[in-house]
Amino acid sequence: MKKKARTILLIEDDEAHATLITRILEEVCPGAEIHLAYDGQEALDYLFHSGKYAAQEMSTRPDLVLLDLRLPRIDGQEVLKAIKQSEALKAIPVVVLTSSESENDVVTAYRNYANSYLIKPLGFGEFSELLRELSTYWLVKNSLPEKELGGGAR
Amino acid sequence: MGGNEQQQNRLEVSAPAGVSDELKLTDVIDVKLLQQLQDTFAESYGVASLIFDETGNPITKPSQFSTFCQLIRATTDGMRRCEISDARIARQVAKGSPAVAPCENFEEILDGAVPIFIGDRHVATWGIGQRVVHELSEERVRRFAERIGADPDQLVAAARELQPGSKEQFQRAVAFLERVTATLALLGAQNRELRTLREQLETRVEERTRELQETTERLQHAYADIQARQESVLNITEDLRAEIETRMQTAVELRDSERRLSDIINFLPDATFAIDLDGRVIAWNRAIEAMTGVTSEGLRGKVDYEYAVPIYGTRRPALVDLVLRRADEIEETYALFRREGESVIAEADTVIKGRRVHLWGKAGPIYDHSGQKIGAIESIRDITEQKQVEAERERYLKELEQRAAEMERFAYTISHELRTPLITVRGYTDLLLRDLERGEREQVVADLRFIENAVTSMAQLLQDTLELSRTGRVMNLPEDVPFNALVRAALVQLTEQLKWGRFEVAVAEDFPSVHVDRQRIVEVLVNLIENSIKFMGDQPQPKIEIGYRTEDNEPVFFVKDNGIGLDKSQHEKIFQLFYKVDKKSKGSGAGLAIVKRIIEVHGGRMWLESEVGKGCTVCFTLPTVGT
Repeated sequence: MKKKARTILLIEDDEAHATLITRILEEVCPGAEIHLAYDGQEALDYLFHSGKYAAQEMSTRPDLVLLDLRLPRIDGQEVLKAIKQSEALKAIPVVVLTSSESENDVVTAYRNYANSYLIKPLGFGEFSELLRELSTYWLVKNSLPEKELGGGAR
Repeated sequence: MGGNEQQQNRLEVSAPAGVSDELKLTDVIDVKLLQQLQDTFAESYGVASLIFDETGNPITKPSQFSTFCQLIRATTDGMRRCEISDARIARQVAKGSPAVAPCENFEEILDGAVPIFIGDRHVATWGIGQRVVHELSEERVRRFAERIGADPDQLVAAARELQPGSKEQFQRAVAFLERVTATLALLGAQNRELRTLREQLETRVEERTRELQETTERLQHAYADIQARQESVLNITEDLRAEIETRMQTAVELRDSERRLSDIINFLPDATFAIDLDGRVIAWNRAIEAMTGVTSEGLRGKVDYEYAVPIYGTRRPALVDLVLRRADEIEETYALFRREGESVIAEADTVIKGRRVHLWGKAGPIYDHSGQKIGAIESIRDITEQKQVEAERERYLKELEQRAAEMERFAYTISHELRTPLITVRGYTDLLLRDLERGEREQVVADLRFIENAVTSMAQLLQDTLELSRTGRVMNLPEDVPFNALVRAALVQLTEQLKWGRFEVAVAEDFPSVHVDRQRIVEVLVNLIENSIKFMGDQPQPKIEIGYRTEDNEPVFFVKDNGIGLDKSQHEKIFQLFYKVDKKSKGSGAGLAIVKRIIEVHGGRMWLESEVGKGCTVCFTLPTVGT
């Protein structure tokens, strides 16, 4: 399989968690470009080229979104909904990565067409293992359309 | 008896037989006596005499009958002539009068006859004859004898034996005979009358006897009847006596059972009364006297729903009446009305002795020993307190449920909130070891800082959790406080912060007094004002307003700022435990949850009114003095 630079959008408001996840991803998914958004609004700005990401070249379309749910300003579920309602973005795999074990959150996430729902594990080793599998699956094994889904087709 | 002339006509027609059942001459006078009378008469007057009945048959034997005539009669011709004579005489006598006529054979010989009457009936004839009034010449006798074929000598000899007499003499004899026959007739008439009388008497006696018999019989019947009646009257009397005895016994038993019933009803702890089918109060026990203040004496025997007055304040059918007859419109006035077999059960709110009460009642029919429904009984229980306790329990239960659900949410939230720093601690401790091994000092310091922050935030979480759990439990006794006193106390605590941020604080002048845990409400105000300070943003003229308004007759207190405001989607979340609008802000995010909890513990409500960029108003209600 042809190795190609991948972009991961990490949406995480907790600095400690964001740093931890970034460090692990750099190890298990070398070469991937990781972009961090601290809240929902910033994530949407990045994805839809608005706000400080208004210029097209400011943001790369991510190959994978890692999404925390409890976010300031705009909630994680709202971000998920926005991505999955966008013809341009809906094909991007969105993996919810959260510390919430709430059934309600799980149901809502899938109702909003999340591709996967993962609970942040305790321990560095476990976290590394999870992220390794996750990135291998979504970024290596899983096939994704090269281009955005055509607006007219669906 | 009537005169002869009258009798003549009648006797002529009625001579023959046909009234044979009537009296005969021999009924009136004995034949022997009649014969003697005839013989004496014939001898005295020297005439032949014979009495024969109405049909011509002799009754007596002939007297002084002359041989002369016997000889003539012995011949056919002589006899024929004699018969002509006899018939002529008879014809005359049949007319009812005596007859005297010369013989057909010899005109010197006279014959006669006198009729004998009994009453108006000719019953016999007394014939006399063979009286020679002139001497008969031998010559004529002899010729006559030859002509009729008799022995002339014998006849002449017989003619000599005939005693001659005068015509007058003969007529005297007839007259005498007339007397005799008249006497005989009188005798007969008397006899007949006597007989009639006797017959009438007999008939009457018979009638009387029969009547007497009948009467006797009737009397006997009547007597028997009376006896029978008497007997039945006696029986009835006996029955009555027995009946009366039974009834008296029953009455005694009834009185006893009524007494017992009354004692039992009186003994019942529930307010109880009973009515008969006419709606008359027949029992009103001590408990209901105590409940209503109306005595049994005042109600006994009263009608027209008098018993409802002490219970409902008005004359109206009660549950007892619904036992005796259905009435939907009355049933509807009760709460939880239901029928259980013949009983009715219901609850009602009413006012008794000026006190609002909630009553529970049950009523059912009363029967006598024969199973006849005779009335109804009702028991009433004042379940006001029970109801209140129930309502309270209900409220507690609801609160408990709420609390349990809250606890669950709370436990979940805590575990979740603790998980975030735990992930950090666990992640970075592993990383720390690796960084130490690699000797990456800068990384080690960063790792340690993350760990430290996480631990601090965990400590904060624990403290807030404790605080929150205390909120529900630990409360000072509520007191009446003017709300502005609480505002002042809160502002004093925040003096430094407010001064430093150059905040304008506006406090309403006229607050109502509230009935609250003073210390807790001050905490609420401090917290809310701090939030306003925290989320003021870049507002050049920061202002905080503390006041109240009235909504639905209830004061609504508020803390209002002109800070950054909040989107509607956050209005409810902001009160969730550990929810933070900005994760980088200070505190665990438990503040508003605690504040809301305090208000709710007071029985109030708390909500947010805000829009992004237009400031924020936190509203809440509290029990005011006098409510």
